[in-house]
Amino acid sequence: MWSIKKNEADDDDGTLEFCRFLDEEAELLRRALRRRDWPTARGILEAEDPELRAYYFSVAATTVGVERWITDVIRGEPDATLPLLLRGAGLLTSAWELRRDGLTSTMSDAAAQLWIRLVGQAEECVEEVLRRDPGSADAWTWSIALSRARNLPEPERRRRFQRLVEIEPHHWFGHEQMLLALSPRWGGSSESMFAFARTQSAACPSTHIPTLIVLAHQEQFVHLNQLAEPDDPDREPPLSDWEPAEVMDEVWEAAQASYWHDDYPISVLTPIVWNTFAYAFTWGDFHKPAWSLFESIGEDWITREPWETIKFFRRSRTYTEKNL
Amino acid sequence: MWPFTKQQDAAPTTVGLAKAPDLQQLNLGLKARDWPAVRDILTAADPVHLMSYMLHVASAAGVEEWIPDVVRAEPDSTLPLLVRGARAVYWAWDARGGGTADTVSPEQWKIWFSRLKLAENCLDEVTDRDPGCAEAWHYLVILGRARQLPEQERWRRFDKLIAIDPTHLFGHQQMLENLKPKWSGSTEAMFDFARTRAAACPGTDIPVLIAEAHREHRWSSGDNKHFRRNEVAGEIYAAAHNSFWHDDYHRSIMTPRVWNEFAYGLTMGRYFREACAVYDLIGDDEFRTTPWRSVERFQELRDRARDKADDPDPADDDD
Repeated sequence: MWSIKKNEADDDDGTLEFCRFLDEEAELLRRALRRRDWPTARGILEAEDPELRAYYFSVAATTVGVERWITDVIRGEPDATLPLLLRGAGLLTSAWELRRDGLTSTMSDAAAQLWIRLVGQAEECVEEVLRRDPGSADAWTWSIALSRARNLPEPERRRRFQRLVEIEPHHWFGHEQMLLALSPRWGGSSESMFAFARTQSAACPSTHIPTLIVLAHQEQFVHLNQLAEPDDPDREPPLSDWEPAEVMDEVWEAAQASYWHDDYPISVLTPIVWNTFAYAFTWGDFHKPAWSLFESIGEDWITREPWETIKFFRRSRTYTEKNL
Repeated sequence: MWPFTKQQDAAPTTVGLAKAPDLQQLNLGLKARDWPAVRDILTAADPVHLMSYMLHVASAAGVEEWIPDVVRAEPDSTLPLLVRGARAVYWAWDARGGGTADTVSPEQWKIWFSRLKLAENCLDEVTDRDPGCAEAWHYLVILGRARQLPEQERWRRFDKLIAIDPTHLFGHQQMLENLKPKWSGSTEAMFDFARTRAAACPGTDIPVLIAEAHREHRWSSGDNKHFRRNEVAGEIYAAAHNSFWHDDYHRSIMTPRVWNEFAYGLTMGRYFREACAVYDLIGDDEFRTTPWRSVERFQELRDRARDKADDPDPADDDD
């Protein structure tokens, strides 16, 4: 038996691309928001299905500049909470971009002042929405994100998460935010982050949630690598980080609890789960489970995360295929 | 459809011209050596338009041949003198060429200094008679560098300019040029200037100096990797928020220059989604050669940003 090296490049067939959005509505939403077409955007954002609604809101919240023009909508519809929440989320999205490395990112004076301004404005919006509509799961999700931005104490971060899961126990983006809120890069600790991922995975079998286990390991690798190479903007953790048995045993169990579970329903966010596990299985040298995921992903459901480039996705897939 | 081709010089795109009938008239007037036409456009312009138009006048070959007659014919007006002085600055550069000092022959140096002296005399006279003429101070700032005047004098000229027009973009860019290491300044002086002026002028074009300073500095600081450092990319991003994304910002004919510089800096700093929003503003009509150097480079970086940001081009919209 032979095995190809992890650093070996593969042939470029040049046909693959990332799926930019997980459904067509999301793409229409992004286009509508970039045209500042609020009636169309609102129609999509008011989806009945909670998972779709949460996904569309996350797409809206990461539309650049939405926080600036949405103020006109807010003036026109002062009683609506959706545009206000979108302004808050947009402001916080803009603020995050100043701290791409985490809470201790090096910042210029102007950036530090901008951070304070944007986070403060975001907080006003989200708090106002929660005052008027305390049952809004998306608002709680963004208030968890705010607790991290404002570096609030851990009990307050947990309180906000608790409110969220009382309303929507399987809200993927809220879980993702809480994982970050407890991560070492953002003022938490590795222990809290892993404990959270494990507790929630156990509490939410047959859902997307056990994917948090993979994200926690990935976040930990990034954190350790950042400590080792603080000054390199291109630093990336070594792929061999995934090899230890204690890591991959846990990834395996998480897969069992999630998309391998008999009761797991495929839904709009499933490609996130597939791609995340495919990455971990590939570089943890679990080739068969990785390959079955690559088959599910096919050419249509390659998400940008966690691959970042098509070249790396292709390299990962080829590595798996050649080692089957 | 892409409406323009690679540029040969610093002139704006044909699209820009089509949208600025005055500019078209100005260029026709300059070509026809029709002073009354040129004068009427310059006289009617507000400060920001005058700043832009004067750059066209100064770059227009041949003006130096006929403007002396106008100066003699209109002795009471400072405008012909301003035109003569501004043109002499660029005319001097025509003789010198854009290369390093060792590429310039002794004969070229002689012409260079005599034209600069001519420029200085004209502009000194303008400021003597009309001390509030911002454009004269702007070209005097350029001369401060070209003639290698003492630092104190360079600053005096810049201070005079901003006392009249605190957010004069070209004057700021020239002073930044003055302070670059390649012009006997230093990295520290360049950044200190950019940051100080950006902080003093929120909601204006001026924070674009930050992006320009980083573009200059990248050569001595790890090339393009420089832009990817969090503190660098973040500073450019913050500067964009303090400039054209600021609530108090007013668009002007200078704005596309600001957009182009920030679109470049944000793309290089891997702020892809933000860069896409700026590419939307630039559209097909507001491309400027600086800082891209070529339309091909602009398209390449724009398409890369849209791909990385997963943001579709809204111009593709059919619905």
